[in-house]
Amino acid sequence: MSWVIARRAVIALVTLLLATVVVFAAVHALPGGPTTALSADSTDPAALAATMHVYGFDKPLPVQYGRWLGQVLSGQLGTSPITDIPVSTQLEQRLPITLELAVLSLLFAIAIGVPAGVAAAVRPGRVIDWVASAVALGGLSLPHFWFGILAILIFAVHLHVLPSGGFVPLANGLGGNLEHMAMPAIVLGTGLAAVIMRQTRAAMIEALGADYVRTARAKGMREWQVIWVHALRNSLMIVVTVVGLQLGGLIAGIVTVEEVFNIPGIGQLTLESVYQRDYPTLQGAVLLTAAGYIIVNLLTDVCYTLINPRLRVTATRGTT
Amino acid sequence: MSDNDPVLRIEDLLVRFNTRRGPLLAVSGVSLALEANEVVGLVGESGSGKTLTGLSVLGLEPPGATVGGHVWFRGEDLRAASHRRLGEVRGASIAMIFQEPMTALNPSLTVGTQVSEVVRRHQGLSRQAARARVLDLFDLVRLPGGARHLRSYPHQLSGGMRQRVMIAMAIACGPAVLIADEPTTALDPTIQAQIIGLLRDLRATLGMAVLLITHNLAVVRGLADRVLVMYAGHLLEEAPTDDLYAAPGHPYTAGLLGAVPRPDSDRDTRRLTPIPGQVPLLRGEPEHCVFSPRCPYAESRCLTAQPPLRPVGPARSHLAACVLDRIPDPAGAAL
Repeated sequence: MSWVIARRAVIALVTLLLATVVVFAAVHALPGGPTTALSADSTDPAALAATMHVYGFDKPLPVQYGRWLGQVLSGQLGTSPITDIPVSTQLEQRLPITLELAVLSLLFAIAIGVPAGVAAAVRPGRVIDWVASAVALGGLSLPHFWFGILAILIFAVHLHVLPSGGFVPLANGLGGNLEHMAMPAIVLGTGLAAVIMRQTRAAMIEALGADYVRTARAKGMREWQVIWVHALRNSLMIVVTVVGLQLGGLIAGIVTVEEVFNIPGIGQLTLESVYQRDYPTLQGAVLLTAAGYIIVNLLTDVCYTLINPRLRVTATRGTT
Repeated sequence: MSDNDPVLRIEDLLVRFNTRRGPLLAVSGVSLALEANEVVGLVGESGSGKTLTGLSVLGLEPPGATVGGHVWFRGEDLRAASHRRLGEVRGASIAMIFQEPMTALNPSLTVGTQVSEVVRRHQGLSRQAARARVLDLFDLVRLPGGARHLRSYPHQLSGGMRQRVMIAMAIACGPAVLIADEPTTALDPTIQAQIIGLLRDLRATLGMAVLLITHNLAVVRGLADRVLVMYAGHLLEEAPTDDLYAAPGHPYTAGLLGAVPRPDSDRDTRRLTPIPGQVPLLRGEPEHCVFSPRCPYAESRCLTAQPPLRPVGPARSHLAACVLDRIPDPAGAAL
């Protein structure tokens, strides 16, 4: 099994290297440049040229890429020409916030999606199935920005039960932190919950019709054991794969949700640096996002191997 | 309960499916009894309703099936029993093994877990006690490697080993009745012989009644005390095994025997004689003998109603659902 994981890890590293090229090229393909942003503060062409030189923006692109890659490999991501703060410092401050948001919305999605999918699969075609499927279709169709604003209008403006946005660090108390994170996490996680529900439902319907479920019933296992142990265990493989694939969508949604709820995470940092043509920060933020995506995929593969014993390379095959 | 009372009695079992093309009669009025420690073979082609009969005993018929009749087990009608009660009976008093041990075992649980959960469910054993019991059971079913396979997954075992695990699960609680649905069909011939030998030994040591469901007449001959022949949802013949093979009382049985390769046959023709046609799907109770469309001896009185089972031959225990008293030439019955 470790061999499988090692191979996946090597593939992930190569992917990451390719990602640096794409990130760099995409960032530099943006119209405008640091000049556009910096010229707001300084109109002196000579001073501007000097700044450009300090940050190396006057060099040919391949040279700039080589320099950046060197920085990345040494763990340095450069310094923002706008704020003068090292990119790595900015990322360190904002990554935990985004991670918390991602984990909370993932937990929400699993906590809603898996039980709903199981409930729908146990009684296919019945009321609970129709309700769960309809809600899932709705959850899947809601755009994050619209759902976010709607949630703010209802829960913050009208009902006054949750704050409309902002962020309270965990260090300042779990209650305040969760209060601010609840709405964004739910808004972000709803689409994923819908996908998980539908996949769980499909996988469970298949599993519940399988021979081994009939065997479990023939053994006299209680119905909850049949459903939650025998059938769900085999459905989880599909669910884990889907969650892994969908986390990319979650990352994209993070940018929108952080903006709507004014959460100072990686998503907001990315948007800010796009507006300001803050190349080093933008490159750092996007590279981190790409790395996150690749790591998630790696973890998905590992989980898949752990859940599905048939993928484990063990040699105890015997003969009668 | 006296010694003569059957341990399991199926009475007038009826299984019907309501399909889009109308009702489908899968099992029609099957009655059979299993004495303690007796092996009864239930024989028939695919689609004859034999598997459904076995599943209906434990209430395991597929969704959409309408089941009528009674299944008497120790004075209790299992068809009228609650889900909770069925859960107590299944795996403990009446156990079942299936045809394809690869799909019948859960691919993502170790075989040790799958066997131990039966004894933990029914006997309330602790994890350690259950583990010890599983090792005993692995010995009992002669699983090669024994303890080594506690943590094996089904895909890591061979077909024969998987079926041994299935059998271990089934006998774990010392059931009074074992329903074996095509236990050897998915296995290689040499492994088949081993599994048949194992079932024969276990039946002797554990003293359980076995309902052996199979299309394989050789398997039945090697194991069963009595044979019941099923066709299109109907029982066509019932007889002690030796009587049935010596003188089949129903043309269908005679046809089946003609389709079995017999290495001991002293006839010079080694050709198999197939029964022409195929098992019909019944939309409702037939107004003629169900086998008449394929029967070489069908006559006008066969076309009025399905004949009931009646004694044929010298023994009272030999019954056949045929109007003929004697089949003209049993050996070459189906032409």
